[in-house]
Amino acid sequence: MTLEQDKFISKLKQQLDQSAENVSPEVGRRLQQARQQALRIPRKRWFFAGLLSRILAPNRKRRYRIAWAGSLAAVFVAAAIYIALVPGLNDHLEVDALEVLAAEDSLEFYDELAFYEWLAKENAQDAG
Amino acid sequence: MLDNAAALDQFLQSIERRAYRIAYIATSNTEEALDLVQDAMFKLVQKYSHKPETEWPALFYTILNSRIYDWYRKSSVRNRWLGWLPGQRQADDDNTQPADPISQCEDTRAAGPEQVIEQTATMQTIESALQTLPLRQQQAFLLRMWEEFSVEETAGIMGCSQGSVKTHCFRAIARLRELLEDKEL
Repeated sequence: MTLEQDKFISKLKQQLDQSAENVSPEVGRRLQQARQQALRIPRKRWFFAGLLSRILAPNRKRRYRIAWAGSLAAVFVAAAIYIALVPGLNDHLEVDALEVLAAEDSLEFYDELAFYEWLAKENAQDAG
Repeated sequence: MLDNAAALDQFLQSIERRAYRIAYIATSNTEEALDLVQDAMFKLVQKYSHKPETEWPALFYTILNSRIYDWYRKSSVRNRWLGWLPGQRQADDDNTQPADPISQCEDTRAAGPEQVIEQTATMQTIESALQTLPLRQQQAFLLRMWEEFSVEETAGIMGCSQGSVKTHCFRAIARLRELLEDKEL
């Protein structure tokens, strides 16, 4: 490196040092807050406690992500509860399966059930 | 364990403002820069606090650097898909938290107004020049020249060869000299 280049770099460094020292009080406060929050994280072994600390950290972006994930999870849970509890939505499936398992008819009869259904529809159409 | 916590606190305190500056130069956004520094602090404390103290600086900047790249990649993709939406940038800026009134009070120990204005203007010129550099050159210059990591350490942090670090630094210095030639630093 030439002497001129050295001078140029040392001036840049000096300016950068000053800019780091003179960050706004608000940024300084937020950095201090972030550091204190980070130091409260239980180290390495306590994964879930660490995760919880990160979730509760004063981080704007993370809060949005959690809000989105939470909303999405809530929608899924609500849909699952609705499907499980509302009568009539999946009753016929369970009854069909139970009927087949409990019935004494031969399996061939169930194999041909689709054909009988089709035949019944055809007859109904012809009659109509 | 307590000693370790005190040492970590001291270490993070010593680098937080410089780390914020690096993140700010990369993102040009206060909130994003604070988020990136906070994430790097969390990761260092959670995963690497058991490592020897001498390794912390390189580890911290490796994490920060990787966070900056992730941010850069995501924002490139986001800008590609959402850039055409009006008010996208404004919506981001509107989400900033209201300033703390106490922290806004004037610091009487600080430099005088003329000096502050002069320093701010010079710094803005330098920051603008740094922001025009490609990200790799920017990072190589800041880590190697400002943070004074060795070529080997910088290469480790950036995940590239020592030759690449030298090339990035050389190009960055040449470009900065070109940009700041007529400015009085």
